[in-house]
Amino acid sequence: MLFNSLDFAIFLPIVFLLYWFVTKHDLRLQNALIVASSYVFYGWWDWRFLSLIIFSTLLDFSIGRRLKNEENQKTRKFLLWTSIVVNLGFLGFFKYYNFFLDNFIAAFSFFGQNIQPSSLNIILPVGISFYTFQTLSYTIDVYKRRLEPTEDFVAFSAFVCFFPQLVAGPIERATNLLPQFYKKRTFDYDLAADGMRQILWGLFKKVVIADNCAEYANLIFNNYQDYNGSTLLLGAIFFTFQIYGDFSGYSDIAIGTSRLFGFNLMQNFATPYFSRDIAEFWRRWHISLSTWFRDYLYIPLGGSRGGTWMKVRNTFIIFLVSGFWHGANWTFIGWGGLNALYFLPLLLLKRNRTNLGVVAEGRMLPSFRELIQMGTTFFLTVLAWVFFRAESLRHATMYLAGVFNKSIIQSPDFTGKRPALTLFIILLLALMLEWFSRGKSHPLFEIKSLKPLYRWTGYLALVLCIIFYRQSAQGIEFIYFQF
Amino acid sequence: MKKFLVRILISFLGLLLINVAFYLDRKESINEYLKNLNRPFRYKTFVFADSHGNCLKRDAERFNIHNLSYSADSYKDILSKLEYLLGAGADIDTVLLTVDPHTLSSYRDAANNYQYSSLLSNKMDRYLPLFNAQYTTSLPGITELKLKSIIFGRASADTSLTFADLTNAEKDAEIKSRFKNQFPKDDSSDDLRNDLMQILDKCKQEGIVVYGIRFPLVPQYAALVQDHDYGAYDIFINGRIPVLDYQNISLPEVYFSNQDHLNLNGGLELLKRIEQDLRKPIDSSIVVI
Repeated sequence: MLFNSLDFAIFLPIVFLLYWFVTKHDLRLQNALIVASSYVFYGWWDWRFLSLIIFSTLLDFSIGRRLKNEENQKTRKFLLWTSIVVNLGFLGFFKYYNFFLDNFIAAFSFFGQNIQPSSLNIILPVGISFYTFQTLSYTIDVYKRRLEPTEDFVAFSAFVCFFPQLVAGPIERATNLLPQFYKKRTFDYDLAADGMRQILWGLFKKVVIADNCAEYANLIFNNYQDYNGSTLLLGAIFFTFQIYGDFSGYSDIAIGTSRLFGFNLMQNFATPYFSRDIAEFWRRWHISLSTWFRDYLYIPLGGSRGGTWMKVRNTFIIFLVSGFWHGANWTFIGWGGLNALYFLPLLLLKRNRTNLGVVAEGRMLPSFRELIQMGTTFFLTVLAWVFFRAESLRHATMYLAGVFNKSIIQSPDFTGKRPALTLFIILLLALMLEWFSRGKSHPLFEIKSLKPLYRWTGYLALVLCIIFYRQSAQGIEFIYFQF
Repeated sequence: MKKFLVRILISFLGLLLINVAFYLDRKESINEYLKNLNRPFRYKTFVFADSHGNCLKRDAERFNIHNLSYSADSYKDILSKLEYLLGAGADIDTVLLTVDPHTLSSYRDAANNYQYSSLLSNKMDRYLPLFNAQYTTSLPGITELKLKSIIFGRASADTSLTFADLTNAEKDAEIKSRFKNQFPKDDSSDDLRNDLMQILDKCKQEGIVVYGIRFPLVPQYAALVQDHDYGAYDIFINGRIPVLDYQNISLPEVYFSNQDHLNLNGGLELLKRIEQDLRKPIDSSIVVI
């Protein structure tokens, strides 16, 4: 079920009340309720998906227990690789089978051989990319002895299927989330209230920013041949805000919902569009995924140690795999490759860790230099997002060719169904709010220090924006569910 | 926990209060929309159109016709009205249904009266405007129009002026602006196409005779619109449903309030022609001009 749907609006209060009124005195009951409600949440899409997540849970729990007492290094490695191969095998099959098959056929056709193997009508289980990586982090950390394997199957199941972050992250580390299931949660008013604020902000970003930007982005991307360069650039910018509002909005709702139940999840976005260079952008965008790849792929490959060739190789591997993780299409690989090209110069010039703090920290406004840096980084990410959004590499290149011609100096020319002027004003206000709260977990974090009248006026304004600017009564799916 | 639940409850009650405020604000406009549907009908011929049909409102009943046109009505709105009337036992034997070129345009998906016509099938929605997506999602558009008129200082239209009173430059600007609005680059709306088919099926089931009607346009606008039709006309022709096509009839500009709307005097002239044409025997393939 979608976070921005009536089903979830009914589901959440029921689970919340059961959790804090029925199961609050018993840790096992608390965790069992999490598991049961998470399976209901997940099965709401398609009950068949449950078999996969349950199998994954059983497999990694068993492997964790075996690893606990296994001292033989060869056996330990074998157990680890069993977990990796099986989990990634499922992911590879459901997500990439048809992609590889289509490219296999295309390659043979290129050499004049026509083959007709059967493609399968495979439904991609929602969230498989996310929970697969989450369970893998458990087995890898247990193998590396960073984490004690658990004997508590219910706690482990709850860690794997925890519904707020199950289908679109943040991809939690077992070292952070699993121990939270070992202790009974007691209701914390401040945590729950901040959770509600973060949910509100997340809904605002998703419903108002993302869904409305999506309308314009879809209109322009789907009819790119009909528009001039400036309109195409605007379309790319609309998509830039669509994907940010959609994905970071979801993360905010996930983190906020977790707080209602007494859990703390990791921050997944830290105002990435205020980054001063691409390296900083990747430290602020989808933090849970980029740190996962850093810790479980980049560093084991050698990271930034070694010669230039190794640095280049490892950088490309990380970004291409990251792109491929997003979907079975050459466009995602193109997107990853472009980001690698952006990142490499910084790495080779040892400037990838220049901007580690918050931009304009302690100041209201950025300096002129910071403004240029942010503008340049933003522009580069906008161009890269064209690949992410496009249907094919050809679509992406034709789109960019359309942007970079003399029609870019003409004024934009498009008519959308939704009111653009007020939406533009709201977007500007939202950006300002994010700017003044950069460095905090979300813009509404400090609102509790305001007087009640201002606080509640702010909440009301956001709620009314959500009510008035929603695109439909049912709620529109989040982009990252397809990953 | 108690404090948390109390605040959630207060928030919800606050929203309900706001809902009451919106209900009271909206009550009059709902009643205005519905009053035309909730009255005894003396005649059996009905016109369903959008703002183009408003020109008939003063004089329609003199010609034994009930005009149920309403500005921004889409086929979905018309379908809801038709179903409502038939459900209430209205005796309808002839329907004049708009088939203007823009009626299947996707701009109608956003500019329509769903917020009102949806109330015909679900009366409870009028008491919960804040939770009625049809209504709440229409508000930003209305707010933006008001904002634009404040910022750009557009004077409200002087309804005593006709299209003939504008200068050539003003006419040209109005025509281009209107054309861009009614005929965006998008394809036609599949939803509205389905609604139109449902209207025609419903009329067939109930034994209602249907005529399409195309309202007059000023010649310059008609020339621009000529090759831009989203397909409603073709549905009628292919379905062998007669169409009263007044798009290119020569009416003086004094009968037009703008490039594609007749004023009330123009409506009277149109009604005279409609009366004559409805007397002709029906040849289902004929386009009556």
